[in-house]
Amino acid sequence: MIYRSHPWKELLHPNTTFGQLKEAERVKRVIPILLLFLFFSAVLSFVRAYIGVGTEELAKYLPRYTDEQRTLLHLLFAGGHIVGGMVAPLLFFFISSFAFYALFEETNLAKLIAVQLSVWFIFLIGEAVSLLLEWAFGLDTLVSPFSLGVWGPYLTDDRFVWALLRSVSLFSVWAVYIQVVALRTFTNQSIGRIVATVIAVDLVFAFFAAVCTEFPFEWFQS
Amino acid sequence: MKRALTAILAIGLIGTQFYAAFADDSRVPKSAYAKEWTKPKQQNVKETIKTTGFTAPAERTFIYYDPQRGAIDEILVKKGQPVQPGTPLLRYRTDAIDRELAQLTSKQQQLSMRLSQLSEEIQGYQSRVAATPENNFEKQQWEEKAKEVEREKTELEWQQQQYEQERMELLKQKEEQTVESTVDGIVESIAPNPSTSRPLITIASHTIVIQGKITESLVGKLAIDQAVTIHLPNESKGLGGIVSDIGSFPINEPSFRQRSEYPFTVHLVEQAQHANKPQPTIPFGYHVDITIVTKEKNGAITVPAKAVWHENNRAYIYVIRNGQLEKRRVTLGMKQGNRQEIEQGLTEEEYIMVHPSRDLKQGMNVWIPLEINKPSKETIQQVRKRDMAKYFLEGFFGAF
Repeated sequence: MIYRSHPWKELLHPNTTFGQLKEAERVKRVIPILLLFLFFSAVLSFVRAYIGVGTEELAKYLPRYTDEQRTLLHLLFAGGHIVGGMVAPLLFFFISSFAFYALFEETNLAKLIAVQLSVWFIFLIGEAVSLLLEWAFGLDTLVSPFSLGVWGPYLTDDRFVWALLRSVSLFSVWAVYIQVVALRTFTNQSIGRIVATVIAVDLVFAFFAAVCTEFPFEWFQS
Repeated sequence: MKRALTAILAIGLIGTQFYAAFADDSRVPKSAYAKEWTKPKQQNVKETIKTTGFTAPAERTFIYYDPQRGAIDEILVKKGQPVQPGTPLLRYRTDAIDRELAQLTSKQQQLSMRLSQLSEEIQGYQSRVAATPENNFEKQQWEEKAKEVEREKTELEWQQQQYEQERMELLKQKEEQTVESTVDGIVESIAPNPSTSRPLITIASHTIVIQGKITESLVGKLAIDQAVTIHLPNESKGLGGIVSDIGSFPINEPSFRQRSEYPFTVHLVEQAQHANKPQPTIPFGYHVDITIVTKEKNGAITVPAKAVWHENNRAYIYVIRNGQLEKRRVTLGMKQGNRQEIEQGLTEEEYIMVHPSRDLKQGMNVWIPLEINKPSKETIQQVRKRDMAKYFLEGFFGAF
């Protein structure tokens, strides 16, 4: 049986679709959807850079550069944001797929990659919602009201903690749920082990993302 | 049931989180989009008052009817006619003088005829004297006759001179019955009926002034010698002038119902400087726009007027400082068009937000929207590689 990847359907009916995926002999339409999501990620990143989200550092040095120089640096920022916007989900996509493949022997890598596509889709929805809030209200990226990041400023001034809290969001819970349902369908492991493994993998990646987000750019200052 | 409970819990949690994010006293940081920002400019500013007025003659000369000179024979000018010094304006009647002159002329003619007769008589007596021999009794007689006639002739000649003087006097009087203009100008009006209480002829000077009006709330800002620009309708070029007079009394009778308006006069400077050059023909009573410069300052710091945020009767400017907004109280100076002078609180080197709003708060981070322009090679060479790497990596890691 051939299974055609359909992330939207997988999100709406995870038990049914992942049951079909388990029984499938081949998985198709993974690469086109992956490329499509990659494109959407790039577009979202470009829009964020275009409206100026995250350009505080550039605004800090307004008097230092001429208009042309600032535009050049902003273009480089946008370029970096677009590349990062594609690299980050790809890393998560492959690292988590390989991690699950390594931790659950009875799974198939192609099927895990198909599952991770629906997770990517969730994060795309999360990114789009976050972008809307940033555009409409100027909300800091780390403090989306859909994540625990919103409590960060009430707890501490450390932005690294905000970035960690951000990783616990409505969308990440949804993603964990999808991953748990998929792994429960594919394996005979206990629910406790599956949940712990999924959360652990996601936490590692959340930590990695937090470290990257709060990259110490002060090193570059002259 | 379980799903409904989960949904209610999720909605409640997200609702609380939204409150935490958007409550008035929320600690969640928000950023401001610097859709447009700018640096203050140093420029010359003028505070002006705009009002309206009309053209009027700079001076008026009035010619009154003089009843002692008699009745008016003829008005020699028409309304609107240009006049110069010496131009006859009106003539009083000269009937009596003319009669006297006629009588005098008649007397002079009679006298001239008598003088001619006497000259002939003298000649005749002198011929006879010459023809009569010496020591003759008749010769002496003719000589005495000739002397007698000559005496008479001398008397008549003296009388002739008297008549001539009288005639000259009368002619002078006749001439004085014509009134001439002593000024250069235009006949503005001619009274239809001669009267001693109002001018018979009014002559308006060629030079014009502007009569303006200003409300009581602004009259205090006016001062003599303030610069003024006069704009004629449909003409882009303005005429320069100065305030030469400010009325102490309102134009209309003061009343409690409406604010008073005061007159003022503007003297056209260019007109005075080029008095001998032909001036643009502006009819009297022509309505004009008046701009009065009440204050002027060179090298003032100005910002777009819309960049000033007013709150509780105080003025603020949102300054972008170290990537954050600083809500800074400023002292406003003059306003010129869409530029506002900042007297205190801002320097020329700072960056400010052009469109302040209620959402902007002190300490907000500033986000700068991207302007897509192809950078030149020179720009790429000017920017340090280190800076380029920094912003690329910042964009890159910011995407995680």
